[in-house]
Amino acid sequence: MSWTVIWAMAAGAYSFKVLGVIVLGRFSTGSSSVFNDVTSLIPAALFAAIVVVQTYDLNGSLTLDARAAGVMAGTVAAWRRAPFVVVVVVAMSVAALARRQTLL
Amino acid sequence: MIRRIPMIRRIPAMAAHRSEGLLLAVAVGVVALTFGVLAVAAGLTLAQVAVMSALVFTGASQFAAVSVTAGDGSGYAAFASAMLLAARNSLYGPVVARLLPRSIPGKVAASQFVIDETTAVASAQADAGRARDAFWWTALWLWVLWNLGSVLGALLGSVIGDPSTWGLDAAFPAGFVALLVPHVRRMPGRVAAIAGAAIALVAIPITPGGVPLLLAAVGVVPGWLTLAKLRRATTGEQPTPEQTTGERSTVGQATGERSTVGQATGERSTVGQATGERSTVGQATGECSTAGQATLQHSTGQQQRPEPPTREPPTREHR
Repeated sequence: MSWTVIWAMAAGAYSFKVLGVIVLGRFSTGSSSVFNDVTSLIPAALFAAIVVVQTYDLNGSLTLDARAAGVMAGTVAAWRRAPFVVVVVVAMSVAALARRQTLL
Repeated sequence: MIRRIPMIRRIPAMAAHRSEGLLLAVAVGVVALTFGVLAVAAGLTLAQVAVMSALVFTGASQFAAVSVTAGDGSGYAAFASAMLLAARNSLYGPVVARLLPRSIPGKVAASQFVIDETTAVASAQADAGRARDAFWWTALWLWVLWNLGSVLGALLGSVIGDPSTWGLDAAFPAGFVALLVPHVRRMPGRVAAIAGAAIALVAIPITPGGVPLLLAAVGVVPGWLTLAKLRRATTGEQPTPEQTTGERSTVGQATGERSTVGQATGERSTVGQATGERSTVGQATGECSTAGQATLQHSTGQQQRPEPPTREPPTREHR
């Protein structure tokens, strides 16, 4: 990979971040507005999608493997109000176990 | 040595919002090892790995660019796929903008750290102070461990085994599940999350990497429609005397902010309180409800379109 690509990636990735904070962030006032209401829901929509992508996506196709078992177990832990650490450790353990058993 | 003792004592008591960031960063650090290994295998030099992790600093983009390069893709293709994955960071700007420094140079500098993990940990906090603290601690841990991991991975190369065997690939999405919890306590967030997840699921097989997440942002629309519907129901039902005076702040408390809307519509106990208040207010509310509606419409402007006060109480509708 050439250095040009790396510099371009750095500039591009940073531009997206600045665009969001400076340009889109200008409309975020703290008081209630349609814009704030909509953007307050972005984490819900995007993080749920991140969970789906990280769990089921394998190079662009939907896959059911040990990750799904781990995340499912983590979700149950989160549902039962387990602390962050417990959720993550449960997910890791179950995924590792499922993989070792070659169940999935 | 003496100075370290209080530090050590503080670790068990580390505030939850900081430990969440740290734990996530540790997981990210191990992912960074994989990135370093793959990057060197794809032909990048150690310097290139280090510069990329420090400056690009958005993991998904870096993985995409490296995997395109490993598959003999062109520089343009690598750049394009990286940008598709970086674009979503724009959407986090409005979410965290209020937590960042007020000055433009401060905001410009802080922007580098506006990514999935920092936004997730910050926006999962209950109040702005903790959210700001969480943002910066997560940013610090992430930046240090992401760079450290990348460089170590590049140096050690294939000596490191596949981290997925430790279940680490499940740790990352599970961490996001935990950080998602505060966002799905109330119905609008729940609707947005379900919609976002469904869109991503459909989009994964038919769109290039990064696009599923961009499309998932559309999930805020049904979420917002739910919010607007709840709010209409709330304002249609509970005009208290303070509201009839048309003071914006009071109306704002009942209808404006997300957290308060949740209290008024989502949780049973608070709804109970609201109903209790109403009975105390009694006939005054009932009598001037029409006037209240008129003032309410006027004072809150474009925020909502109150419906006639004859609507069903919100309590029954959403449980």
